[in-house]
This record gives sequence, structure tokens and C-alpha cells, in this order.
Amino acid sequence: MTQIMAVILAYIFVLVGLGGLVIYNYWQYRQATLLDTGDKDAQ
Amino acid sequence: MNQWLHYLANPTRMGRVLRWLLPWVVGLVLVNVPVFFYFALVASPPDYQQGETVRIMYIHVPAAYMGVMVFAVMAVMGFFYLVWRHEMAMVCIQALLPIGWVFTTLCLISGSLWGKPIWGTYWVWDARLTSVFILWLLYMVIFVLGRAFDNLEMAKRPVAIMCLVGAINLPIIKFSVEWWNSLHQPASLLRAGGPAMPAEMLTPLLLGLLLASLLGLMVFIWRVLTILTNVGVGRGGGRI
Repeated sequence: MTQIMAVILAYIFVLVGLGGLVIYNYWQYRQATLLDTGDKDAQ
Repeated sequence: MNQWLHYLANPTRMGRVLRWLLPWVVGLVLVNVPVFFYFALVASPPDYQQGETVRIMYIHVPAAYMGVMVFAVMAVMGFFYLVWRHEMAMVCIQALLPIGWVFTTLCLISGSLWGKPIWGTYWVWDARLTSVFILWLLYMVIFVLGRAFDNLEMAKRPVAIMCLVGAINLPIIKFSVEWWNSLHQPASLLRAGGPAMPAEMLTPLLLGLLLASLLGLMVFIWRVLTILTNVGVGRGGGRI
């Protein structure tokens, strides 16, 4: 494996891993707060 | 300090503090993301020995730091839960667990990708690598433990104990490179005599540490507010 390939793969894994963590938990948070405020249209 | 902790043990007050904090943390994350990538991928030079792979260090070290720090906080929360039965401490463990697991996973993957071109192998059963792998397993054990009981109420005590017991691994991770002959390099940031790297490499590393901390805090706030909204505290609902 070349050095550049290792760097690209490492950054892709980080972007996918942390991106997934952020997007999933933001979505969960939005769902919970929308349900809590009774914003039916936005659901 | 004690008074402050008992103040935050109230879910309503904790929720109020976190809701106030959230926009500031999100704003700082959004500012830090492009700044970090600029310094990590553009402004910093390649290393004279490691070449371009040194850029993996700017994500590997923050991921390792977060994996260890999140578990340390979980251990402190486990202690609070066992001693004072603060339900918010268990909510914090619930919120922190996937964050620490993701960071530890990324630490292991990025370390392996760095190891192949530099060491010539993705993995060795070296003291540092093995102790971090054990940390990753501990996160999994706590996750499974949280789901091994009929409801969360029964799981809380074993989970808190496991967080405390697992914390024994944290000093082993930190000092593994000194206690045993290790392929992994010793500490180059937190060491006597200051950091062992030039400013142009130290900057993206510190920015990475800041960004990882802010990102972890942002997700933690979302998760705590979600748990508080969905199941409340002390109602026996939810899952670890």
C-alpha cells in the first residue's frame, strides 16, 4: 500500500465513521425534540 | 465541585445547561472542521521519515485520546452512579458509550493503515495495540451487558461496575510503551521537555484534538437530550 493510499483510506474511514455518528445522532435528536414539541407537520 | 455535580444531577437543570451549550459547540465544530483539514492536509509538510503518512497521525492521536478519555469519564460516571445513585450519571454512560466506541474503532483502523507502509504490517500483538484492542472490547462488553437484562434498571449496576473495572486498562494503555518493549513509539506530546515535534506538525495535531473533543461533546449533548426526551430519567426505559 502506498503512503498516499493509506492517508486517503484513513481519512475516508474517519469521515464515514464520524459522519455516521453525527448524522445518526442528530437525526435521533431531531426526531425526539420534534415529538416533544408536538410538531406533527415536521415529522 | 460537589455542589456543582449535585446541581447537574437534576435532569431539568442538566437539560437547560446542555441546551444553552449546544449552539456554541455546534458553531465551534463548524468553524474547526475546515481549519483542521487545511492544516492537516495542506499547510503541514510531509515528515522526512514517514512521508505523507504523518497526516494519519493528526486523526489517529485524537481518536485514541477520545477513546481513552470517554472511557475515563464513563468510569467516573459509574462511580457517581454506584455511590450516589445519580440517574443522570447512567444517562451520561448511555450517551458516551457509542462515542467512545466509534473513536476507538477509528483509532485502530487509522493505526493499522499507518502501520502497513511504515512498519510493514497492519497489526502486531504489541502491548499498546493489544491494550487499545482490549479497550475496544470493553466498550463492546458494556454495550452487550446493557442489553443482556430484561430492562435497563437491572443492567445499570453491572454496567457501572464494568465501567469502573474497565478503567484499570487506561493506565496500562498510557504506560504500555514504557513498561514493555513496544513497536509503538513513546509519548511525543505529553512528555517531559515538551512536545517532540515542530510547530507546523503540532498545530494540526492540537486542532485535531480540539475538533475531536468538540465533536464528541456535540454528539454527547444530542444523545443526552434525546435520552431525556424519549425515556426520561428513572422510568426504566431505554437501552444502554
